[in-house]
Amino acid sequence: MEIEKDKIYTVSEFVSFLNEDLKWMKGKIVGEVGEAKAGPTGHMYFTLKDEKDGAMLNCIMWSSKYRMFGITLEPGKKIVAFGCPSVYAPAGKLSFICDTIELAGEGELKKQYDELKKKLEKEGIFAPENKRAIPKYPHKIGVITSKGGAVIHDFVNNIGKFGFDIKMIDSRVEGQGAVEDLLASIKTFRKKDIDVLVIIRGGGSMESLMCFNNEMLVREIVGFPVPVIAGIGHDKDVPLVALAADVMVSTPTAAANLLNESWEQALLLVERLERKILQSYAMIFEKFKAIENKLKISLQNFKNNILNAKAKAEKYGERFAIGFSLLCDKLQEKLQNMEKFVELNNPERNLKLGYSIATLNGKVIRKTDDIKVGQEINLKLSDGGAEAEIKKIAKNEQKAQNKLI
Amino acid sequence: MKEKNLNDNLKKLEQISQWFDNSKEVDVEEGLNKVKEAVALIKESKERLKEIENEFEEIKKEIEPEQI
Repeated sequence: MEIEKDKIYTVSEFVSFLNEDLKWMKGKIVGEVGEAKAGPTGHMYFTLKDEKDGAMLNCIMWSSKYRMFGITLEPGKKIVAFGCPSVYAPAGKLSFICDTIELAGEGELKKQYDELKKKLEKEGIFAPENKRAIPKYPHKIGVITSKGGAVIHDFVNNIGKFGFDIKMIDSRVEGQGAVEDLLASIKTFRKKDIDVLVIIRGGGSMESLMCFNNEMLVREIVGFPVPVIAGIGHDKDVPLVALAADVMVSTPTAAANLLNESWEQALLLVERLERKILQSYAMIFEKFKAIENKLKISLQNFKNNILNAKAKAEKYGERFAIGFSLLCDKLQEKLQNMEKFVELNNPERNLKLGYSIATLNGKVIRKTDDIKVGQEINLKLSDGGAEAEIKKIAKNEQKAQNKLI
Repeated sequence: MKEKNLNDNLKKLEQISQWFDNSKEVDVEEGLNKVKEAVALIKESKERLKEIENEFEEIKKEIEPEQI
C-alpha cells in the first residue's frame, strides 16, 4: 500500500497502515532473551538482545503458540525467533510477534532434547508396557506427512492391495513451524474413524527434526485413541515422537510393510489350512474305503460259511435219514405197548367181564359210607343201565374193624 | 467382508484343522460337514484377501482460529 503524501492520517489509521505492511516482513532473528514475563492470560512478553552491540527488540509470543514449543523463555537463553513485527496501538510500541521459537545452536538443541527425554522417560511415556499393538487386519489408515516429498510415494507404492482406506493430511514436517501443522493434523484425525495413525517423514538433521521432539506432540501421540506408527528417518538421536509411538520404524516403506504384515500372514494361513483340511478330507475317503473293503471281506466270509454248512448237511444227510427211521420204529413199538396197556385197563372191558359200576349223582360208589338206605342209585352195565334203591347196607365187619384199628 | 469376520473365519478354520488332528476315529459324516464348512470359510477369506485396490484421499486439517 502506498502512502498518500497529502493525506493527514489519524494515529490509529497510521498504525493500521504500518501493520498492514509490517505483516509481510516475516523473518528469523537470533538473540539472547533479556527480560521475560508472562501476562495474566499466559502471553509472553520478552526482549531479544543482540550479543554484539546490545540492540534490543520487544517480542510477544501468544500463549497458544508458546505452549507448543516446550522452551521456557528466561534471561540469557539464546533463541531463534520466527515471526513479523507489529505496532501495538494502545502502547505505541513496536513488537516482534513470534510464530515459533527454537533454541539456537546444535549444542542447545541436544541439551533440550536430552532434558525433555529424561523428563518424559521418568513419566513412563516411552515404557514398553504402555505400547499398544497394531490391530490385526487394519483397514482405515490415517497418514500424516508432507505431500511434496518422496515419502508418501514410497508409502503408497509399498502398501499392499488389501483394500486399505487411506486418508492423508498434508503437513509440514520440518522446522519448528511444523509443530503447529502436526498438532492440527493429529487433532483432525482424532475426529476421524481410523484403525491406525501413521506419521512419516524422511531422515534429517537434529535441527530439521526438532519438531518431532516437541513435548505437546509427544503427549498427543501417547493420548491418541488408536495405535500410532512413527516412520521418521533419523541419525543418532531418535525423535521423541518416534519413541512415544506404539511402533517405531525408520522408513515409510517399513511402515507400509508393517500394515501389510497381518494381511499377508492371513493369506498364507488360509492357504496352509486349505491344504491341510483337504488332506484330511482325502483321509476320510481312504478310511471310508478301508471300512468298505473290510465289510466286503466279512460278507464274503459269511457267504463261505453258509456254503460250507450246506455242503456238510448234504454229506451227512444219508446217515441222518437212517437214524431217523430207526427212531421212528422204536417210537411205534412204544406206542403199541401203550395201546395194549390202555386196553387192559379200560373199565368197559370189566363190564363185559360181568362187573357193573354203581353211581350216586354221577359219583362212583366205592364204600358203604357213600350211600344211605332209600337212596336211588344208577348202575352201568355192559350193554345199558338200571336204577336201584338201597334197601339195606351191610358193612363188612372185618374191614370196619381194620378201620378202627 | 469385515476384517473382524476374516479374523473369525481364520479362527474357525484353525479349529476345524485341529478337529481333524485330534479325532482318532474320524466320524465320516461329521468330517464331511466340517469340510463343507471349511470350504465356505476358505472361499470367503480368499475373497477378502485377493487384490483389492486401495482408496486414497487427501483431507484437510482443521486449524483452530488464532486465540489472541
